[in-house]
Amino acid sequence: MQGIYNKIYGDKVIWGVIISLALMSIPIVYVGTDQLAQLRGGNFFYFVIKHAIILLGAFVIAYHVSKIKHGYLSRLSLILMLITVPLLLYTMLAGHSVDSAERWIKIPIIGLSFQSSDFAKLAVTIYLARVLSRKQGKLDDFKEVLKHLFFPVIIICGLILKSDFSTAALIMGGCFIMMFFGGVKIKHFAIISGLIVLLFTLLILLFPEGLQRLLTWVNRLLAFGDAAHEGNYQKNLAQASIYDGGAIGLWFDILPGNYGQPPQAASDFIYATILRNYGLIGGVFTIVMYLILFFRSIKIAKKCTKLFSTLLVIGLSSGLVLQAFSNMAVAVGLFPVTGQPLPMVSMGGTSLWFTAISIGIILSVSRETSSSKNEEIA
Amino acid sequence: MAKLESRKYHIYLLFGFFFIVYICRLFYVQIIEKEFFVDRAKTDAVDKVVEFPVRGNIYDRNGKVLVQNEIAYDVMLTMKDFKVDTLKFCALLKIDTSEFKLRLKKIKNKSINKGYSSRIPQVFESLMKSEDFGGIKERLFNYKGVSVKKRTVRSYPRPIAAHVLGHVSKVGPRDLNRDQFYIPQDYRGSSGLELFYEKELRGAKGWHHYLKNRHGKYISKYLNGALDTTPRPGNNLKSTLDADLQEYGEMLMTGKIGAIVAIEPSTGEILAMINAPTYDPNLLVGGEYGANYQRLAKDKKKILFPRSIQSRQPPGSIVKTMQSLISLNIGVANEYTSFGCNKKLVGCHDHRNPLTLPEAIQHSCNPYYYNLVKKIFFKGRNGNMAQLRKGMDDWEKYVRSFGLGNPLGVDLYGEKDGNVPDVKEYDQIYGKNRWNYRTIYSLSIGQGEFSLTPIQMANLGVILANKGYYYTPHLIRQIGDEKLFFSDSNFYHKTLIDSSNFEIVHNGMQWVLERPGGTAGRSKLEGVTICGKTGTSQNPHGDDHSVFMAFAPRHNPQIALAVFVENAGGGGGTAAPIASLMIEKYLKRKVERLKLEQEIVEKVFY
Repeated sequence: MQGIYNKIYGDKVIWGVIISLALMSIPIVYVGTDQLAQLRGGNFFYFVIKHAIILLGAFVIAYHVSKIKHGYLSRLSLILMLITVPLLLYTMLAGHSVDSAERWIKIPIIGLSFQSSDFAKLAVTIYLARVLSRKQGKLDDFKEVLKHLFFPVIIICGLILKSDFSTAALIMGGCFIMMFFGGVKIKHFAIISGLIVLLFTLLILLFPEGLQRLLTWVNRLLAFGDAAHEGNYQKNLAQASIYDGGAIGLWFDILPGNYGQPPQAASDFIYATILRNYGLIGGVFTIVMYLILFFRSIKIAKKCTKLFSTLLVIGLSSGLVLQAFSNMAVAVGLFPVTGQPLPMVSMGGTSLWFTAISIGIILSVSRETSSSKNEEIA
Repeated sequence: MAKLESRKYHIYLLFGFFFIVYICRLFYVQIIEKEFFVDRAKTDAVDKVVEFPVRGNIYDRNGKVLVQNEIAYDVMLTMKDFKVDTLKFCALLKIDTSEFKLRLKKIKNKSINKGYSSRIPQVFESLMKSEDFGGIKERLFNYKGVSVKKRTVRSYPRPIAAHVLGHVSKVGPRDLNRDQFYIPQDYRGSSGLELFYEKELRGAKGWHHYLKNRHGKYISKYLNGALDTTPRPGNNLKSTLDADLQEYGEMLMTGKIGAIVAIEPSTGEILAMINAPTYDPNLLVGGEYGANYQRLAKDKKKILFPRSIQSRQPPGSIVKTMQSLISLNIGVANEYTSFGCNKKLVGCHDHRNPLTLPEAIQHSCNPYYYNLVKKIFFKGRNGNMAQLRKGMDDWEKYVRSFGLGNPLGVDLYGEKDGNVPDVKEYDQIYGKNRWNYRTIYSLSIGQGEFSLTPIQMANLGVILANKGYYYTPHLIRQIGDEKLFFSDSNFYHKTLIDSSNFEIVHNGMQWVLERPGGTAGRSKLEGVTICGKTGTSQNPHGDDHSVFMAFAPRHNPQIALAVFVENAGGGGGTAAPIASLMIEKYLKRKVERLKLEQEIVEKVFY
């Protein structure tokens, strides 16, 4: 036991968090997919086994990424950024559509689908950490800030925006948090925000088909809270689930499997399923897990000797937590339906692996900070 | 270390804020607004299953059942499990294979059958009567995927009063839009008392809440049945009808087209309301409803037409009683006023000449009323047009106080108004002032533009019986346990005639039956003083309609009625004997004049 414990690299608390989340997710995915399973001919274990395998893969990825020296990532980020832009363009034009928005691309040969925005998110975070740490002295110069920081972020988000507004907004949010920590002036944020609004308007004017997407979003926002609206079907079920769960949860009582589960009870609405089965206690536990992940990451960031590492950890962890909060917000009815998975919990193939990469990087940083500390002691 | 140290609290604050918002929201969903969310979600995941209430029965005034409920069976198919030998199955249900295929197509078509699921039983054959169902029950249950749902249908132990009772039918899209109460499987009253008292009769549905899975299969009761309600049965109605009298009247009207309305004068309660030809109300129940309804609706004799409240006909000479009362009341005539029978003025038959007022009623002398009504209009003077117009206006006020020219307000929908001719109408027909008494005299004897419904004719009998007032005629006297008091001032109507004027007219009406030369001499009833008046309603399309209006006994009247028989000639020949037999039936409960009865029943006028 001790042997395995020693072999695990990086922050043990973060390992604990992701293992807890993963373990918690397995029964949830099992009950959450029984409707899907019935539709697919009644193999109730199909989805949960697939989920377990993907989780296992995620741990393998996290483990291996945590062994990589994250310093290499700085240079790699330039290449990643160079790949990202054509990748997003390709997705936009040729990606296959789920729910009329092109978000997915298929890797030839392997046959795995992934959302290019997951890739973009990782790339832009690393890139931003690099640029922010390198341009520290020039942060007063608005031109520089615009050119090296805001411009790439806006391009990336702009490319995603058309098909996936919520992801674009989350990436933007994560990047802003990074820039905020990285020392970008509040005044510049204000200017940029104004510019983004302007650009957004321009985009709509340039791409009328983008307007369609926007209208969907506006409609969702408008219909938000209107119980009769068809789009709220899932939401209503989710809220009833939450109510059913009560304070202590139903703990997989016969009731939950059959009554009123939202169709995406194991992905977009997984938080509702958690609340039903584990109750308010489980719901708070989940939030606390993500908060621990975040505060632990801040702690790691503070220990870093290199600014690049600090910003990298902050960017990755805030990205994850923002995503988690947006998923939970949908389930509890604070947001209209967005389609963000709950990191490390939601069933959902490759996006889980991208989450694993992010966590792997954070772990890798923590490993180096703790080892440097160890060296100091030694 | 960049701005991390100084700025980290902002982020702590941000995420801390998130945390608090989430906890608040969860608290809100689970504790404060739980009912709201559960309600919203229920429609998605909880099925409300209806339990239909039992519709109220309708009884006659003596507690005999007019309408009750009977068990009927919906044959349901669960398509997923349903596998049969089509030919045998069709033979069992007595349908052909093309009908079978058509029905299955309809069941599976989701645009027609919105809630379709192959796992939920769907109605294949609706409302099979228990006698039909009993014979095939055993064999039916041998088939897989066949189940049965019990429902109730209306049933009529005695096939009488079809128009009055009305029928129920499946609700349509308009009902569903108009009244939130209804769901697509509902039946509602669509004519007669069933329609008028729909809200009283229908009761309230019970609801069961079931949790269902994605396929619509019920798993368990939602919240252990805490939200479930039991149905509240509809109110029973106690009608004013006398089932025996109603049945007898319908029997008398065999082979005739027309109506009989009999009313208890002291209350306005309708004792019988016969529309002829009539039909067996059991025809409009269950599976054969559609075909039977079509057949009845297409019949040339207009079987579904509720003549007693909708047929507007010239009342004929029965209005002479009213004309007499008006003349007495305004003082242009008295008991001994007499006019010669001048047949040049208007046709008449041979009788003693001249006549006093009651004798004019007895003989129904037309020229007498030509003169009498002229006197009413001109107030006994040699008047001009202006006098005629004013005289007619005054006359109209009197006539309208008899409840004529407007629906009386019976508790049925569709009651017609009838027509009281007035100055305005004649101006329209002939041009302003381009008419005179000679043009319009026919209203004096109840012909021409004058029209009444049979119920108004009967009500005229009520007014005569009561010496000047009537209660709104009605068909229901008790709803559930609540008795209806129609003696309320809203239902009490007083005419403009002083009660002292009635005895003179009653004399004449008694003589109609009892004195030699009376127009209804054959209809005298031993031991009962009947006051009546014959009428002959002229009809441009064919033979005259036979009319008789009466009440009996003369002192302390128990029944007032009008009989209207289309194309049956003079009032004395057909309508009067029918009225007399009805009175005998009601007052003596037994008819002894069997020969007269048989003669009447055998008369056919279509």
